Amino acid sequence: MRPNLRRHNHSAWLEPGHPSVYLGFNLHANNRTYSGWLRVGLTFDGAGNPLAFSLLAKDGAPDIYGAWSTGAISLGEVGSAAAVPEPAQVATGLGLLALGAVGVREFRRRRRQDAA
Amino acid sequence: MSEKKRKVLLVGWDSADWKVIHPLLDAGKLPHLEQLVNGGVIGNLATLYPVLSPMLWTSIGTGKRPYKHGIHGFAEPDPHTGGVRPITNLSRKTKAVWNILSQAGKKCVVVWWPSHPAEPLPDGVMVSNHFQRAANPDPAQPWPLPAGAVYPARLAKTLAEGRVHPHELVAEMILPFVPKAAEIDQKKDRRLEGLAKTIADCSTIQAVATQLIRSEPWDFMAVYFDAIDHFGHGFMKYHPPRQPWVPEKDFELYSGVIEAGYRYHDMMLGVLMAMAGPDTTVLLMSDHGFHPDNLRPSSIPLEPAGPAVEHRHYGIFALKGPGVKKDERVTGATVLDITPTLLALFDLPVGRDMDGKPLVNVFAETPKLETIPSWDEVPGTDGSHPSGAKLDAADAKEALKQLEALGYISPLPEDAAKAVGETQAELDYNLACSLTDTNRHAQAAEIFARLWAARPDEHRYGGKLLSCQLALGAFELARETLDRLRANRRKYGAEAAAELKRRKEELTDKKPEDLAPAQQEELRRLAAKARPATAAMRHMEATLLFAEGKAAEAVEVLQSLEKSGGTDPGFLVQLGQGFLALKRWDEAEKSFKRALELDPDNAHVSGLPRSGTSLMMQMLAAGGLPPLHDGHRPADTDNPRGYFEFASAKNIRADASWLPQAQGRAVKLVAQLLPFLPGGPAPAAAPRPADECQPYDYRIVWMERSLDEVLASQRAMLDRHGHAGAALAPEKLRAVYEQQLARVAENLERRKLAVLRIAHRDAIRDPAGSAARVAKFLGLPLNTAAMIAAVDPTLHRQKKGRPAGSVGHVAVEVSPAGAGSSRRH
Repeated sequence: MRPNLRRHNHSAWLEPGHPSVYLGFNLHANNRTYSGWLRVGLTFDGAGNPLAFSLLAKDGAPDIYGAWSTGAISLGEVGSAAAVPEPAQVATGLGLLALGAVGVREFRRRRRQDAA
Repeated sequence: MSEKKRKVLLVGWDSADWKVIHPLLDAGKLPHLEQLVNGGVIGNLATLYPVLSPMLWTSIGTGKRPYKHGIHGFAEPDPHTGGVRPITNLSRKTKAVWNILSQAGKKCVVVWWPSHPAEPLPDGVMVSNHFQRAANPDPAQPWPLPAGAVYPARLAKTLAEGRVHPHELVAEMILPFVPKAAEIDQKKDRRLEGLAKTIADCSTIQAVATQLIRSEPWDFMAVYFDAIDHFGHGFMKYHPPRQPWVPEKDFELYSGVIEAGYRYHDMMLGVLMAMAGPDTTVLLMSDHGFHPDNLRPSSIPLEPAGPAVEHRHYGIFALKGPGVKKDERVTGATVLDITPTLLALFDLPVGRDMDGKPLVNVFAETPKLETIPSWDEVPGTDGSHPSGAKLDAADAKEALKQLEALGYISPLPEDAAKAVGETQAELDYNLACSLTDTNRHAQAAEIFARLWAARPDEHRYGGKLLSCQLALGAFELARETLDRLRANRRKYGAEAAAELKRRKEELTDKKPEDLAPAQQEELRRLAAKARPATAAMRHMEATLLFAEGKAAEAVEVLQSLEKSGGTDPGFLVQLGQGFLALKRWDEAEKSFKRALELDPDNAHVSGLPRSGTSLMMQMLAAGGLPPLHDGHRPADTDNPRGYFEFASAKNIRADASWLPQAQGRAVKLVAQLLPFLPGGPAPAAAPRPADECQPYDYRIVWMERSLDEVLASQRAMLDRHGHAGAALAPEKLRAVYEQQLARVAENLERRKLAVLRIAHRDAIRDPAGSAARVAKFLGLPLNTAAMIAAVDPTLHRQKKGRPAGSVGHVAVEVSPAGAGSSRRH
């Protein structure tokens, strides 16, 4: 399932000195509408170049069940600013296992990566 | 069916229960199941008895009861090794739905149970239930795939790579289930290990299903998850609210497991549904429910398959897809209906040898249904195993360990011959229990009697034999059985007590935790056997007294048990029936109300009024056969022409001395009392003295009426009288009535009593035809013109019934005389 992000609003643009913004959105997937918001953050180097991109559903611990049920939006995941994440790339924990074969492979890839 | 290329995804969640699901749906915690519920048809799915999963899932997969499909338990003797192995599909005697669909050219992907060894489905895939079991706790050790776990073999390597070992799981996969897992000392508390194994197993199944759903072509895919059942047996006892006997610390640690288990399954379901696509028909169902509330048992019987007491009568059914109704409920469905409904979805005929029926009410447009005598008689390549297929005994042993650990089977003794004997006895016991579920009490009684003769210390055999004898009306034999049961309990109880004492003396310097699990288990068994079980025996005594018509004595015994049985709905219903028989109305009402409060879904009802018997009595009276009635119940708006009731007939269980008055006359009897008519050939299990045989010749006119109409008519009558009536769902009332009537029909057939069935609807629509049939059956020169005139079609007010050929039956007309006059033999 690739969610269809049809409408959104945001609080401000990301820039040095203003490293996080809030996005409100409606997701239309499987004939349902999911509403929510994301806190989007960027980490900048001293020259003002973005180093890392982060998405959080809310402050604190991400919803451990939410990885798939909210439409495969990354929860507490740190990834590339350029990529549109696939579920297996962004899901964690049980969300990853629930994805089945793809999730198991991704889980093992990450473990190998962590071990290296 | 309109769709030419239908795809169906069948997902099985063992033990899933709406009682757990509904609060989670309301809280928005099961979003994918909510899609299914809102977009399709849902309902309860009644189970079969005994409520044992391998029997049930095979019934689901075949549409047949266990005595037809051949799977009778968790383990079976292995004819090739002389030992015992977990149940396989090699014992199955009939085609499963995937064999039928394969034969019809559909591509099937099947991940089911029991499904080992995998069947060679043409152009299809099967993964057996041995696939996901991790034999070695050390993940570093080799994890070979059992032979026969995957068909075709080309997929084995890829699928095996997706298996999840319990030790692979990381904290974030466990913490949703047990947030305080870090506080657990896992050397002493092994529950977390068991939980991890269950999570790993179902994650493996999900990995297999998602791999196959993407890589293999399929028209029908069936995926079975057993994890909710394992979560239930391990952790439902800790589910909120906390029960008095659950330690607070355990509750604190494990109270979230059940919710987490359902939420994880919802996540997996969401993935499967998304991958299957919106045009795929999705059917989610369970084989039975699982008590999540006040009906959770405080202890599990120390007998094989004892954990089944935690199962609830109703599983779940949810169906969504093209051509299926939306946001509707289906009633009256059973696990036997799944295969016929699947065949209907694929426009295939249903076997008339199947015990289930297609659930036609789920379809937006009624499908054209066809039947054939039996799919087993249709030749072709269906992917069934060739005869003589063999199973590897070593693999089988590992799988047996799993079942032992779950408590589904007793630890097997070392001695193989003894193990085989015990396993076969358990299969026979389950088969006999299954036979009682279909009112084949005579057959079941023979099996229970044989088992009990071989193992007189197995009191459950005697208890079941007693139940059969009661159902057969063989009260004298039942009395003998009860006496023998008491004597056996005394004898073997004393022996067990002596043995227990001896063992305890041997172990006097040891603490309970020092004992091996097997030793602890043995001590518990001895203790259970040594207990006199006074309450259970007294309860049986009360049941027998009640059956013998000694209601006052039965109530006296039951009242002595009120303290121990006061929270058991079944006990309270029995007590209420006793009070009812004694016309102690207030006490009866109190007992019934209490039972309903405790278990609104499963209270019993008795009697089947409003079935049209009065109409037949009117016809017979008009035709010249005088009714035997006392006129105590006057005509009213519900029966404007009178009820023709005879109060003494209602007490026939205790007193049949009024029967001579009935010679040559018509008597109205509620169907459930028919087995108490004296006479008729003796059942095999209940020989009667020769001088008691066949004292009368009866002619029984059995009025059949759609149960929907009966229930609507009862409801209308209660409303007119301002009564609330039973707080039971119509489907439950229907199920109870159907069961009662099937039992009565079995009794009449066995006794070879003459019965004419008249549909109430036919009597209204075609009084001439009905009158002629009745006159011919009774062999009397009845005035049929007067009988026809007695029918007033305006009385047929509740016209909401099921199609012709449906169940409604009832009531009776007794003529204790051949050819119109009584005839004493």
